Amino acid sequence: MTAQHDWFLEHLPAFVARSLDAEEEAQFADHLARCPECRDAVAALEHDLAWLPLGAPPTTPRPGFRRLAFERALGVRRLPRWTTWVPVGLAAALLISVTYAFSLRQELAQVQDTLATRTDQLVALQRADRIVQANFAMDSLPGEIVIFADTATHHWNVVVRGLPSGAKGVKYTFWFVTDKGTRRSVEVPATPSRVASFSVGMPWEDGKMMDVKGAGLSAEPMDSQGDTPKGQVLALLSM
Amino acid sequence: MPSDPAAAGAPRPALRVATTAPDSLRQRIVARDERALAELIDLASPWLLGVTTGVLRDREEAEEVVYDVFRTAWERIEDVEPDPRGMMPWLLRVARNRAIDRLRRRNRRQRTAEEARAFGALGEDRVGAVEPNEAAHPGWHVHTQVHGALAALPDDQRAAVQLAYFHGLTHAEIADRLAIPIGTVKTRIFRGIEKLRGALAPLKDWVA
Repeated sequence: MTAQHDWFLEHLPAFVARSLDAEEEAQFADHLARCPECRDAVAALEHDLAWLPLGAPPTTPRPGFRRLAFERALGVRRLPRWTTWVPVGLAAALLISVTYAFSLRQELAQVQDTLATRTDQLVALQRADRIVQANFAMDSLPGEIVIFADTATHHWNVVVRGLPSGAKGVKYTFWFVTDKGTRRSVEVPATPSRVASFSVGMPWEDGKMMDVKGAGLSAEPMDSQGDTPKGQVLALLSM
Repeated sequence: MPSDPAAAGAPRPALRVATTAPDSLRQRIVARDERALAELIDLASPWLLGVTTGVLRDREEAEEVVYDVFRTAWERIEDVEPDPRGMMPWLLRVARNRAIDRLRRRNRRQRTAEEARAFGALGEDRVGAVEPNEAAHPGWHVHTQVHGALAALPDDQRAAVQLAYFHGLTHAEIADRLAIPIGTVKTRIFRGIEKLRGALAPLKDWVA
């Protein structure tokens, strides 16, 4: 065994950690191409450290990320050209007008997020291969909930109309009905226009996407927690 | 450059992401099942973004790297030797390596150092507390065990390993950052990685 070989063995952790400088790293890679022992040692160390990257905390994807990741992985435009350009055109027009009105960067970033969300929703509407609707009444006012389900990406676009915005002591909550019982999803905002829309992905449990049988909407007490509805159930939908 | 080594561990009981499971994501992706791709994106994105954002400190660049990783997975996963632990080890390694490659292609050492300094002393943020609702992510239990292994390192070794592994800095940059000799940096990384190896090697499963 040579002194040079020993140098490579000593620097295995640094090579795997990527802390060697460019010249050293190139030398190391060149040596690996000729040295089965070091190749095996690198492979074994990488194997043992496979989960170390998970030391970094997860980062929640921004609105629009999943759709872009899906489309770019496939490498093709999945929609007819007009259905792609209409939302893009609308988004661009809105972006230009908003940029004109608000020059502050922070405001622009917020609008871009909103645009991405709206584009997501528009695409979800176009892609929905299943639409389920139910009526309900809240404080004697009629309302409805519509789910546009995209089974390809496992995302639902949900539109709720008719939720009174002034209801005291309750929070409107969207639920999944799964083969293992109900699972709390998101809080539905009550707006002055009485229209709310949002996108949700399917719930996961024990590393598996759950088998979702339906969904529900309820008016929960403000202190409601957990996966069991405690308030007035407004609507139940079977998927 | 770290490659895609063959897995050495014995197959584990059936897991959704395990290659030995009949419905493994890998097999479904190899079979061009687009729904499996969607599931993979949902499953892996938070962790891949966490790794790449930590290295690049730029959200848009981090997303670009992750897009490329998913595209590579979709197009070439059949060329990657199956790992009984599933696709995540390969995805994590590719994402981290590409993020570091990208970092080193641009001349922003100074900016990275400044941002790292502003972000928190000695990279403590990479093992810091996180929002409780993030515990809902699949793989969270592995994160907590890695977090524990990092926290168990002596402070000086942990700082060197974090700057190298999670921030993509070289020996020289770490020496400059910590104001210590390069030889000391090498020793701390060597010892830190060896300790982490002992602590993390028994971890086999992504899904509890």
